[in-house]
Amino acid sequence: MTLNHLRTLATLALALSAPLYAADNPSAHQHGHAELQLAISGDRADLFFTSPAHNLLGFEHEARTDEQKQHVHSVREWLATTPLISTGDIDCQITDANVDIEAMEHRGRHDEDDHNHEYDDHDQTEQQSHSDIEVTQVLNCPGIDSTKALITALPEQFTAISQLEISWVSSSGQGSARLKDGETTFSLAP
Amino acid sequence: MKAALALSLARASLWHRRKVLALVCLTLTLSVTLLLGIQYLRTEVKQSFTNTISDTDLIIGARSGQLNLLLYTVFHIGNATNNIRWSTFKQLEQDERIDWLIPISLGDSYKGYRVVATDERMLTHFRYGQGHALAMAEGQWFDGVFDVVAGASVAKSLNHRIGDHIVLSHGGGRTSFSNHDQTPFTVTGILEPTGTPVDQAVYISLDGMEAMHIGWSSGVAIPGRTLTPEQAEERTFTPDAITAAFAGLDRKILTFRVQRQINESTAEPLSAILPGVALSELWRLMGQFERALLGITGFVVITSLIGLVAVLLTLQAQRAHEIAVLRAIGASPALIAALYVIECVLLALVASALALVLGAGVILALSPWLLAEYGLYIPLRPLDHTEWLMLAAVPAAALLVALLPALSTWRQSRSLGLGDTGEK
Repeated sequence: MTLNHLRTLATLALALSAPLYAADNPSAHQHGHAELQLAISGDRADLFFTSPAHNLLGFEHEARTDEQKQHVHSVREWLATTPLISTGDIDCQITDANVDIEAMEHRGRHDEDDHNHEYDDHDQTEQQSHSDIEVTQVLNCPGIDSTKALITALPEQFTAISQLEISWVSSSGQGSARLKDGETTFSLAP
Repeated sequence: MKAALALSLARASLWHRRKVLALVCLTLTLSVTLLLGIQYLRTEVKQSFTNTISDTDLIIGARSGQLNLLLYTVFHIGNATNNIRWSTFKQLEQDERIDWLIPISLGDSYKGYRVVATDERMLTHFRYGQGHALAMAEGQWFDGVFDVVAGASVAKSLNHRIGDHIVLSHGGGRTSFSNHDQTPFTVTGILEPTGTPVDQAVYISLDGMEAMHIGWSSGVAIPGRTLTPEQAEERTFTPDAITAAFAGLDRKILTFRVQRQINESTAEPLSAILPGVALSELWRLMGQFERALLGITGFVVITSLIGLVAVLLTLQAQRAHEIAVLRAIGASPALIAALYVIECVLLALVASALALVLGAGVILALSPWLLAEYGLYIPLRPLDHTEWLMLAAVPAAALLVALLPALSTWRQSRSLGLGDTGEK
């Protein structure tokens, strides 16, 4: 087994175990990777998207400059108003959305010491803390239950996401897909 | 008219060279059978694999990776990292979002087959394939403490009948030195074959699992402490722990929420996995190998086609006189070139048809054996879209490769005069 295989397996193992350790272990945090969970029933789709903040914003500390604050604001707006999936023919309508991006806007006490430093150095920031952004959306997509393939706008909007792990549940069963390097379409075949 | 003439000429020409061409046709048939067979198996094995478990929304076990949990609960591969408390299971039963739960307790074996301790909910709620429930081939589901139900493969390979007494072994492995001799079980039922790992296990009650371990310490029975079957029948048992549970939800849309909640439970570290998601992850891991296999088979077909061209080119040299005669009686160079193309495509069509028949025959012949030996259910079904496309690609590729001798013949026959054989 070559080093590449080992690396693929290790990455896979990391990606697979990511959602399983939430109570007592800190959750896995891997830049470039993001996860989308999708539950479909009738015309309704419940989405849960989680990603390291770095993938969406380019930084993981509290926004300080006006430019960064504006960026956080626009990303929040996009995530709250853009349906993360579509069926291609019919656009989905958001009936409820929640974007957990607070940490980027108002950092908790434990990071206050960092306020006087410069944050250009990515590694330094990474050592100090990691932040994830969580998005939940409830969509109304007519005909989604019979759709064979779905499109997500995430990899195009956030090009830092090099690997998007998608798990889905629908009336036809369960399954998963992995979108790499800007792929946007995934199949809903078990 | 011309087409009919070309066809009849091609047929006659093929028949004339039938001995050589039959061999080429055989090579092509075998390689096409291999290509189709691999693609067919790929689809069917995947189907059989994803059909291992259905309608189960979550599998709940001790905290571990999702592949590990899937492998030891569904495929009987590997071992549990930890157990989950019975009290936790009872709490899960109270959760209104969970429609049903099947407890399973693993750890013992019978002649290399897993012993699965569960209850009647396994028979009621467990589904495989397209929502098939388990069914009894003979007898009935266990009722007493020391009743056992055998999976189809176990019953078949060990030749068990209803009423047989069997002794289960402590721990896993084909040969175990610590057996539960004091508490023999009676076979009360045999399950219908499912083509899934369900066939490769025996099923007992949770009470039975508890009863046969009373008086055991550190994997050894303490003499005088174990229960006799009569004593066990009089007692009631409550398990301390089980290995895992299969769960079905009332509303599938809540699957991820229930999963997150279970994964984040602080009372006991648990993992809930979506079996369908874990299965597709596992299949993706293996997908690279099957794609490599298909690629190799593709090359086999290409090699056969190149062999076909080689034979056609060799024959071309011998056909110079024939072509001269055809030209003399008025055949156009295009007709002669078409002859080559038609012959080659006809050969490929015959090979494809033979491959279909051969493939179907092999599947029909091997299907019962595969189910019995490997628990792999490969039924005969009509070809799907991709398989038809692959099959159609063979004559299409033959058409392309035939252009080579066809073009050179066309060129030669254009410069051919009467009495001239074209040989320089």
